Amino acid sequence: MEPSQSALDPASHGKEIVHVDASFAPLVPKFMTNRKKEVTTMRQALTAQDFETVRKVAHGMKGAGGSYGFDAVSTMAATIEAAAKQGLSKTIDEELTSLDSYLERVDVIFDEDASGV
Amino acid sequence: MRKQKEQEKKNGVVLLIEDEQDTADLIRLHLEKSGMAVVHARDGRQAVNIMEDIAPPRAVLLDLVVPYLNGFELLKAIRTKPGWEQVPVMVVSGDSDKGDIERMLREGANDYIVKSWGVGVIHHRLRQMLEQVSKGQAA
Repeated sequence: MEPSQSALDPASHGKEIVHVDASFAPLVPKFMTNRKKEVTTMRQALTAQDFETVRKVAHGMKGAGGSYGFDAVSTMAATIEAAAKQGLSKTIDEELTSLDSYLERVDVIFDEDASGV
Repeated sequence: MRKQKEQEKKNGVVLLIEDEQDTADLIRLHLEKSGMAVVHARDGRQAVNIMEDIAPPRAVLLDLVVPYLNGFELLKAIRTKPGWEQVPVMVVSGDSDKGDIERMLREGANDYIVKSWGVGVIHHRLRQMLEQVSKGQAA
């Protein structure tokens, strides 16, 4: 089983549900706070056309998202990283909007055994 | 501190080279829960400094992209440092570029894990790698 599965649950009013191993619980609040800060950092860097900063931050987020089981975060960060390499402002802007929205909507459910092993 | 020392004595040290703090915290949490002691370097320079200060660890978890020295340079530093030549190295990367994977394995890494596989898989493969090394040493 994958570490987490993200799914749009119609009954949860647009909330995204992510299942995360219960042992991660102490670290998840900081993980979420840091990802939101990074969205702000990337947004500011995009405004300054600083694609290198966007790329670096997105690269770190891609790995962190995957490690924690937030597959959607990892996927969106990968798209932003690739777009930053090519200087694609519009793609970055759109993906940051999606990422910001996702981080606001996501609900975490802690499972006793969701570590993927 | 006392607990860390006890774990080092019992299970050895894992050197974790990872610049993303949340990822490092998660890997550390997982490994310490299974009784391993973790020494963490946040970038390439710090990793090299730590390598001067500690005995060869039980394993190295090496991020491919870290500031100052990249994973390839760090792997070379590990493989050429006296006493560290046989230390098992697992590359843990956000990237899955086939060329990078093949080059890392060719240049002496024992395994290559993509972070999106999750920390549980990282931990599982680390245990497998250590078991294989133990069997190799016993043979």
